[in-house]
Amino acid sequence: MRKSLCSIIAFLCACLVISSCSTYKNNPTQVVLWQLGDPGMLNPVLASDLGSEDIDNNIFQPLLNFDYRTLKLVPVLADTLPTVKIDSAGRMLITFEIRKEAKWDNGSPVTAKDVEFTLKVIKNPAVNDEALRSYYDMVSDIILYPDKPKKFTVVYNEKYMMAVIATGTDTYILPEYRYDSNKYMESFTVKQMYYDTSTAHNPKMIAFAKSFNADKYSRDTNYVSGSGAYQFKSWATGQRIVLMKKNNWWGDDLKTKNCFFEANPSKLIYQTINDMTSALVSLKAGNIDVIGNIKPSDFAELPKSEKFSQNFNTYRTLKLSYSYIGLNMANPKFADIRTRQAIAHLIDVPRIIRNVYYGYAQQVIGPVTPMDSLNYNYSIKPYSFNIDTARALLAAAGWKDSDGDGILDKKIDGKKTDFIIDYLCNAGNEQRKKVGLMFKEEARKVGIEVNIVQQEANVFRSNLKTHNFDVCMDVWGFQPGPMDFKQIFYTTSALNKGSNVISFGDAKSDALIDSIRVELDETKRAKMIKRLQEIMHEQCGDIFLCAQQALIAVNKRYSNVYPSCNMPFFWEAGFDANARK
Amino acid sequence: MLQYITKRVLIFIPTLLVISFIMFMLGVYAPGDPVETILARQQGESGLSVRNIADEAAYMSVRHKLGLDLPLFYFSITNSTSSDTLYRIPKADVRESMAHIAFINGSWPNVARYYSALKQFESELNYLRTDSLCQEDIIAAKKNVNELYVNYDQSKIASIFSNLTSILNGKCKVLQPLSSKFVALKNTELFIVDHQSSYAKFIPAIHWYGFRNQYHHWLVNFLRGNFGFSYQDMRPVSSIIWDAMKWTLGISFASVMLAYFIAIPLGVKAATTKGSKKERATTTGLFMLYSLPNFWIATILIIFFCGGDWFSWFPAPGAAPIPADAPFQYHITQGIYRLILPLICWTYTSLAFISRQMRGGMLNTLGQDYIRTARAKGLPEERVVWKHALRNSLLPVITLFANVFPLLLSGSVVIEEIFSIPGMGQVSYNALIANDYPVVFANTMFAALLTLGGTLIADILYAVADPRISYSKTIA
Repeated sequence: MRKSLCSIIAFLCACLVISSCSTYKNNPTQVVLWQLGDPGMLNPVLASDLGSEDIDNNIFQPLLNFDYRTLKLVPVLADTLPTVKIDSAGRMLITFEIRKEAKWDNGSPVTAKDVEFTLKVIKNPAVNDEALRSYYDMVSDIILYPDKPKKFTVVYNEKYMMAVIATGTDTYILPEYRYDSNKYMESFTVKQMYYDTSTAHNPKMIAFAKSFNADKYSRDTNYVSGSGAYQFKSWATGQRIVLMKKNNWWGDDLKTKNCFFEANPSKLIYQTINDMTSALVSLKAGNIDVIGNIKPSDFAELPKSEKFSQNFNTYRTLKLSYSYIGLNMANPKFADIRTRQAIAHLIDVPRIIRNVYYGYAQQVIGPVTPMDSLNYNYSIKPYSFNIDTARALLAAAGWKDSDGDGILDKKIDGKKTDFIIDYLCNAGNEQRKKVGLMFKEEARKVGIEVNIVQQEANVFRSNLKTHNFDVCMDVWGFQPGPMDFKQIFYTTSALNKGSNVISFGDAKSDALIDSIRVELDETKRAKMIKRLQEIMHEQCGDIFLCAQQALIAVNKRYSNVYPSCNMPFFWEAGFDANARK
Repeated sequence: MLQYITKRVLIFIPTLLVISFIMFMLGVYAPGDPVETILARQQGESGLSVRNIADEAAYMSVRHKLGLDLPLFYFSITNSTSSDTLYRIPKADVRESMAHIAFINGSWPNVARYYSALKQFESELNYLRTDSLCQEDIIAAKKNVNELYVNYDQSKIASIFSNLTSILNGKCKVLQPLSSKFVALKNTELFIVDHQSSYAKFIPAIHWYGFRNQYHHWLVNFLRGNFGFSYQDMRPVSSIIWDAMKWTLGISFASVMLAYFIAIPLGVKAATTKGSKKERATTTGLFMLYSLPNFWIATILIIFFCGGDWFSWFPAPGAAPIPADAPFQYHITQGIYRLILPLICWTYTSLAFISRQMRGGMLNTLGQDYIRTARAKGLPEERVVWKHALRNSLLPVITLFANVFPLLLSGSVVIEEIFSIPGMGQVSYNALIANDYPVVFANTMFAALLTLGGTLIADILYAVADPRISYSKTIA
């Protein structure tokens, strides 16, 4: 008994010794990137989570994209930026030409036919891409040119500011030969699918969708394929996804065009580690080269580790998002504009940035990123933290403590109502809870009682959309490029569970949003966007807090690392390990 | 014995059916709408379509794809005011409100007519262009229509109607063509109130839906081995579970073996040296371990021993994979090496419990007459304990074994998260927070199956360990 126990222990020790002097080391030209969890799927039409998009960016290519260095719209698969024309019927015609070098993995050129195919896939109602499809509702046709196989024109049946962005950056072009080997979709046209709804029930359409929705086009290395620099090599569920640089990739000669043609690492490995603390240990141990999105508290601690500061550089960049405290404007308690402004004076944003975000955030006054110098309205001063002003505004709005219980009250609809409100945030988010506690503390001083209610994420979101809350805290993220404010600030978006959770807006703001949507001239549009920010600031339905910084650590081995506010905040394929050492 | 086992297995069937039914109903009534969860995921945090008609179409399309547009069960038992077609109304809040109106007024067909008139009025309203001069009025009208969908209170409905009347008769000419539809809508509503039959709600009614229902589809597919598709990534549930099960089964099996392998000798030793200093020290040590939370120990182990700022004795989570071309023994040693820390965390908490049970059983046995006889025969102490006493003192440990079975499958969320092991714990946890019912159902059904199987195996092991226990009637 004892002998066998001893021999087992001896064996284990031997294992330890053998393993710790392992001869297998990481390849220095590869990049190992951390991810918190696996992405949903590697099918750019069906997937919608950001994790998938980051990886898809290396396998597939859109026509245009926002350069990680300059944040400018640059051509990727397209040769140049498209030309936009409005025809006499008010339709929008966007004409692209694909790069002459662009090739699929089988050597055949990327043509306008592939773009047409991709549009048909997106518009096929049996494909599981309901949300993406709704962006293409307005696409009524695609015009191909028989003499120029790489040229095409996408037709929008009405003028829409986001049209170029939607067709350019949201559409990853799929190789028709690979994704529709049975040629199910060949017999349809985009025009037919737009005008004739009966095509939806065509058995060929359904057969295609069945095959396209299947697992194989989402995670099988033999099926997932695009024109990007990397080939999908393997996916070990819950562990890692490996992409391999293609030999003689068609874009290799275009390196100087823009960041999307920089593809240096031999492999990109997306390593899943579900716990942030473990991930940071793994980083220091040398298993991981890049971590994006480090928690502010950890980021502040990291430089204290010698191992970390020897091997890693840190980067910070502003995210394209803003956090806000939303006041439900449909709630009679917040009907008076002075009440809302009083609440804004109770929120000490600089202190929130200091204590909750460890200084890694920047105060904002509206839904536009302060990096967007054209559209951000710098002339607006944020509401100062001032309890006396808040008190005065509340008194002016008719709130007073008539019964001496320490809580303000007011007659609303003939009933005496105490100023007791719920502050809603999603459970598990410590930052939002901390902001709530700070708000509660200040609100108590003026006689408002705030209860902090944390809810499970699904319940939280559904309560926001049904306007079933008093005050909420949330974050809104967006893409670079023009913003469509209709989604969050239009009055109809408050109906039917839309995203205008605070019920912002009136006919005037709606009209302004409408004119922003159809104005294609940037400077004229900027003027209107600035005016919209003024209205939002004055109305004070959303109290805008700050835009957080993305906190990144990258191994010093790489050069050509530049942080970007575009997700995932760096262009990993640009990292160059060969330049040094 | 065989007869006993057959009987037990037959009892499994109704038990599992009841469990599946309860599971299914809990899933249906849990908060959150799976269709909206999927759509929200597709749309991401931002990026929502504003056109409500498109939204509605997307909603209906996803709902149909998931089969959620079917009735829930084979039949429903309600009062006569409710209907067999109520389930066709897609959105839950509207469904509730309409059912409520029917309940108050006692006639479903009238309410159904009201509902369809409301739908028609809304679609006419949606066809009006919002950016015309009358935009404000149109929006107000839409708001009121939305209110109508979710209000069942008579006075409230009346006040909404009067709002709508004043909007339609207002200065805005665009809205006037809607008047006829509005009158029709108002008439259907009046008809409901005029034709009240309040007794209907006291008459029970049974609606038979046949086999075209959600539960039946799910059950039949489950029996066929088709567990459906995950709402999260549309992968087949069976492949998700199989991927995760490989990890969990391997690790928990190793952990259970390890726990028994260490705890049984410890328990026996503790019983034979009862009261000695060494025994007390071990017991105290084990209980201290037992009281330390494993997520804390796991984090501490990783921070100190995985190559962070202190020692690099063990590989950190996310270490590079073992190359496929490496020699076989390298695979084995590396595999064990990487699993040492997770195994320690997985195992140490159960040591105290098992060894304590073993000690109790052993002490009980050692006091028996036949042990005294064995000792009197002059057998060496080691033989007395390990050969004569051990087998008879295993019963409590076997009982524990029955509970271990479902644990084999469930895994440990915390340990898996910290060590980044893609096992069942994570799958179940993620499925739960994402309202991913197909995965949750399949997991629960397997857990139920294993619990039942575990108790059966424990019962059989009782008979094996102790010949006095027998399930055959002839001997009894």
